[in-house]
Amino acid sequence: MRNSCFKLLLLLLVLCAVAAAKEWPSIPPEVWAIKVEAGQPNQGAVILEERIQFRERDTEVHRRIRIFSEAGKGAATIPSFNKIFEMEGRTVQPDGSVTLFNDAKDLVSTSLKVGSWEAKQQSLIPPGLTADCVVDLHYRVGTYITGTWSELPLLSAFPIRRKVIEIPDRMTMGSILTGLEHIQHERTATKEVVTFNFKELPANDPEPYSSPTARLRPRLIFFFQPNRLRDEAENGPAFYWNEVGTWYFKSIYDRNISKGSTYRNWSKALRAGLEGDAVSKAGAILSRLEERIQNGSQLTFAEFAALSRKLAEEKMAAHDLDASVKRERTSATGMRYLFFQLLVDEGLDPKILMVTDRNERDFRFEFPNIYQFTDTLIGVASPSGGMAWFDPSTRYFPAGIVPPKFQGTRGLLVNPKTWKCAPYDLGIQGSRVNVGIYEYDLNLAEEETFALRARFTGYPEFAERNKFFSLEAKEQERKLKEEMEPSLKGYTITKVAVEHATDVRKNLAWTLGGAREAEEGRHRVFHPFPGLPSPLTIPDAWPELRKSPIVLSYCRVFGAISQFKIPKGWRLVTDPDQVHSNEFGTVAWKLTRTTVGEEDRVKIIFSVEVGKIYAPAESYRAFREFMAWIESATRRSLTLERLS
Amino acid sequence: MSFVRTVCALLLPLAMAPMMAQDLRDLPEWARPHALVASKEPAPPDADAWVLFERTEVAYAGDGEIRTRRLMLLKVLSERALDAGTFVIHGLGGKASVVKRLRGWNLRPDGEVTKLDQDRVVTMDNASEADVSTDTLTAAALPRVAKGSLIAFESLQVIQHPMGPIAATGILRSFPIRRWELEPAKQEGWFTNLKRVEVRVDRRHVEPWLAGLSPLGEKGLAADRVPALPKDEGYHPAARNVVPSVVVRFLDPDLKGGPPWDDWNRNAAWMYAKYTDKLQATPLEGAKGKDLRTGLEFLTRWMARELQYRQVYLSPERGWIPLEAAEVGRRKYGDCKDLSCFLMAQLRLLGAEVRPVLARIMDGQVELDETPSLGTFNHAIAAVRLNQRLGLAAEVETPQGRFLLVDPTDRFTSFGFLGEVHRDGRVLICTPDGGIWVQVPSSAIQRAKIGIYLKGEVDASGGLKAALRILETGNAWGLRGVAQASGLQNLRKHLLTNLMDLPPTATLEITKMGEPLDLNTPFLIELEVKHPDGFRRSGDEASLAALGWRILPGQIQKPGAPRRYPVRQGGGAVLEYTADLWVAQHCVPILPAKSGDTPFRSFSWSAVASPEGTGTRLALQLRHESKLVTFDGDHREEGVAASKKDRAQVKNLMADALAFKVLP
Repeated sequence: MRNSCFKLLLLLLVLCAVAAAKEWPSIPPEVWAIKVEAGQPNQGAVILEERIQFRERDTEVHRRIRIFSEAGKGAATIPSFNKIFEMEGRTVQPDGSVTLFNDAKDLVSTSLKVGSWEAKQQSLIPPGLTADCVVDLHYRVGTYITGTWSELPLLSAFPIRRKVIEIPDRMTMGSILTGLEHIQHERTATKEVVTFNFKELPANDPEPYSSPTARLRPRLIFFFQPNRLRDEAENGPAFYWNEVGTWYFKSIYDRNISKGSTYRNWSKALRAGLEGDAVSKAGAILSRLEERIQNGSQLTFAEFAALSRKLAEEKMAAHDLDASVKRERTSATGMRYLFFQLLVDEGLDPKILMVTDRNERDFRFEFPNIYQFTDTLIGVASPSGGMAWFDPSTRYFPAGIVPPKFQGTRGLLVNPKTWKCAPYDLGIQGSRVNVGIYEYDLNLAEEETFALRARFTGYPEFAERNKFFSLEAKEQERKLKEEMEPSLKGYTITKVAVEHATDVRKNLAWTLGGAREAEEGRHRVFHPFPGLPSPLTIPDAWPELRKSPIVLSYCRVFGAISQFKIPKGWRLVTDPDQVHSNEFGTVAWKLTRTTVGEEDRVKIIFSVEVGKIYAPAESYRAFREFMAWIESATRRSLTLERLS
Repeated sequence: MSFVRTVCALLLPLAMAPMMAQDLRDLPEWARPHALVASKEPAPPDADAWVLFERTEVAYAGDGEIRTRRLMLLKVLSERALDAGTFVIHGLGGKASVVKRLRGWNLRPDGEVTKLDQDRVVTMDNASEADVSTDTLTAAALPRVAKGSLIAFESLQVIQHPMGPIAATGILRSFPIRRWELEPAKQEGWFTNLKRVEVRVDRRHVEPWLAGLSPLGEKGLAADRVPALPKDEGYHPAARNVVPSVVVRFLDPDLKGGPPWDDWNRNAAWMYAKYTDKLQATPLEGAKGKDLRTGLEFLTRWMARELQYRQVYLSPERGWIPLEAAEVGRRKYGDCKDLSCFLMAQLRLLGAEVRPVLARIMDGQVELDETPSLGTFNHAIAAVRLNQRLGLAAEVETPQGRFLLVDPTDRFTSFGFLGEVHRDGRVLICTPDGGIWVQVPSSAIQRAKIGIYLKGEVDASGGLKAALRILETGNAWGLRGVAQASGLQNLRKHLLTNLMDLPPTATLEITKMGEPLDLNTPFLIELEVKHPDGFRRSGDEASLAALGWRILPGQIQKPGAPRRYPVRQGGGAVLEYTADLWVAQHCVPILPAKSGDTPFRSFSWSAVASPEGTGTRLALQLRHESKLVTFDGDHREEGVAASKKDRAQVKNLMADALAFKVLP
């Protein structure tokens, strides 16, 4: 009897186990027929179906993948998660053989411990993958949604035939789908769930000089809406943003700011003797501010080393302007508050511009959420019209230059007189404000030598300064030397100097000297611009077709001048000058010769003007042409022939 | 006078204040004498940090357990070395290694002392190059490190290594070391008798780096003024074959588990057993009934197609011990040991006698008199006992019979051969009775070769339109691997990035591609290239784009710096380039023929021009072969000079061979 009971119990357990086993949908024959399509990009796999169900505390995913070449095995990779509640799957071969897997057998756990804190990661390497198989996956993991802003890209490295996203109607976090201009989709809703259906999502294939700019990138965003603004969000964007202005921006730039006599006296002294228009005054104020107050968020190594432990660990209350002035040091945010207040004190009527890094997100005025921004600029009206913008939080950022990551984006303009907010489009600054000039003096004796002096203005100046300012003088020189050495193979660097890396009043410049033995050969081939960096990075591989718009960093002028004397007994082989121009800008390489007495002197000017940073995919041919001109000019060498 | 003396007495402490700022009593006791002595010496020039003292105590506590205590005192000399305030300990994870103690001191130049806080100790899993492993990395970062800081670390790690009580260490580091010590010991406890344990310490390649190692205690070693590892030197042998290292072995006859490390024979027999334990498998359908040769060919092809190389180490011993063959079959992936184990299991089902083989690839060689040590091998392959010759290249004759060596991890070398990675290799065949050392014969290696056959036309403006056939034998340029693993699109990217130097306006289209896993014929790629400036005119000369001429060697080192490593070039694929080109201009080659033979390469070039129609037909041929060459010890500067000369010669060849005089 006992034996019978045991058998019955065992049978029940087996039946339960069978009932609990996942029933996978059958694989229709047409799935096996999917192969590499001639003329189509071959990612090696296609995601046939993906269903993602978001919930408050977890996320459930079902995915079926057809792998048809080895390159597609990556499509079955599952990202790591903090917590995998359940995971099961199978790999099916064309002959019908099946490898089952689950979290009990195939899960890989790793951890990261910092002191007593520990983060665990779990992932799975699906077994049984071949270059011709179908993978079914089902997993339930901890929530995807973290912080105040989470983004889930809709595209993957592999094409997706059908994708379904389900979002509960009521969630603590709001959600929005964006970047869907070119994506087929439909939305259905019940009382509980909103469902989005997507068909034929292309593979995400990064292209050179494209940008992950949010507007062009389909994705699902989960965002937090502060309780204070939930109702305001229902009343339309204009109402919402004005509420944000009076509630939030007014509090951080006005109500919460603490300033007493220490600050007032200091402000008065700092602003003494200012001259010129509002923009000049604002520029001078920023320069003086940087001289007097240390930006504690961006210290040099020496400044950091000199800090006492107490000061290093001290929290810098950015809003307490008296404290900032007393300790002559504040945070990056504190620098912005000080700058803003100084402009107010001077009566320059500053404006606040909330901006968004175009590589991360895009700001949309019609979408009422305060977490869209990544940075803040402060501006004053320019007498010539428009606004001049300043980035006081970033140490040594040049006055009047808009950081490239914000150029061409939309921001939110906050008027501190009324605390009203409005959309504001940041333009693209012209090329002439961003200049880098490299001047060479060559000596083509038996030992070839060169002396190079490089000087910069605008954003290139900041980019150069940013490389060096945190280092002590000796290390600045070493860094420059190491940076230039790879492009100066065969040369011995004989001289190196970096000037004004921490002098806010002067533009950074550097000099470099090098020498090499002249190469023996039929000719003497030399580069007129040894070690010259390319004005734009030239990718090794260009896709034949282009899908996404072309995005460059910023407009600029890049110039290189080389002067030398033709050594006696040699003749310079000259090729025609090159001057090319198209919608992206101009590339010129010009050689002039002058004879002074017996000296035959040569001057070469190579210049590039990048006049455009956004262009549609249709401009791809022109862009490649522009890049080819640059590549050809930067590579161009000169030949000396021995006179017989 | 007394007034002056009084003032001096008052001022002297002030004058000395900067020197006295660092109170060495704030350092641990073991560090103080070294810090004091070093403070009176000039720091080594051009160093970012100076290790004043490094001591490793390796104590055997019985039952396979090693306790490693490390002491290190370092002075930060430049801002570059601020990260020297981070101390890193590698471990195998699980019970195999536990960090028992970790202490740190940062005595700053201003006299402030910061100590290690538990919140600044980070331990992460999966800290190896494997896809997944139990390896751990424990990193402790001292706060507020500044230039001039004296950094001291002290750690104690308890290691129960699955492969037994054995430890190895290099001596040279990135920074120079003032005093280096290693002291092995036996750590007996109340209930542990270690009298039968033998401690062996072996050193390699001490000279010419160090004048010698002096004895320290009973078994220990010490060195003064240890130089830093060389930087910026290319073309050198693997560090393991040239720089000093020490192996410490605790030979415990009472120890159960783990391989014996007293000699290679016992070690190999143990390793053999670890593989034979795991050879249970279900026969593959297509292999049944096949004889050894056809069965082996079927199996290696099947494995190349169906199994993937992945290192997934879910327990500490997995770096050395294979997975069961049946599980490899289920997962359809594994590392070199797992794949070898799977192949051995399947071959055994065909009635073959199989052996695991330990090898070293891509990172130096196993030396003739090498002490048994964990780091000797980094790869596993298989050997099949042959009763008769199969006529395959990788067959080797040994005192214990004939074997065929098979590397199932290498998917792209033809059947019966070994790949280039095994050239000059020395492998250990593990048998139940011991090990058999075998020098891999060069005839076993498939000679890697690349053939580039160009046919095309150049128009009057210098535009080149060409069809290229690339034929790869073996895995010469890794083209098969790229094509198989990442597909056509990535193969195109690979060609553009690594082999074809094309301007942005050029186009390259792959028109045909062979089957990467068909190893019976060379791997074929057919391309169409349009290069708008492929025959570039300069003055009265024009130069042809060097499509696929990947022959210019890198620079061996910075000019003017003395050489410290020996010079070594590991050989490479043979390149055969043939071009049949019609040019819409009348031209003659600048360099009609040239052959060269340097220590690093041999080449022969010919260019023939014949008038055809309104232009010229060019027939171009290059054969280029890299050589395996070494300039040892005293000849290293000679090697540098030869390398520079060789580079200049190749540069001239590239400039002149593809240059043509354009006739009016």
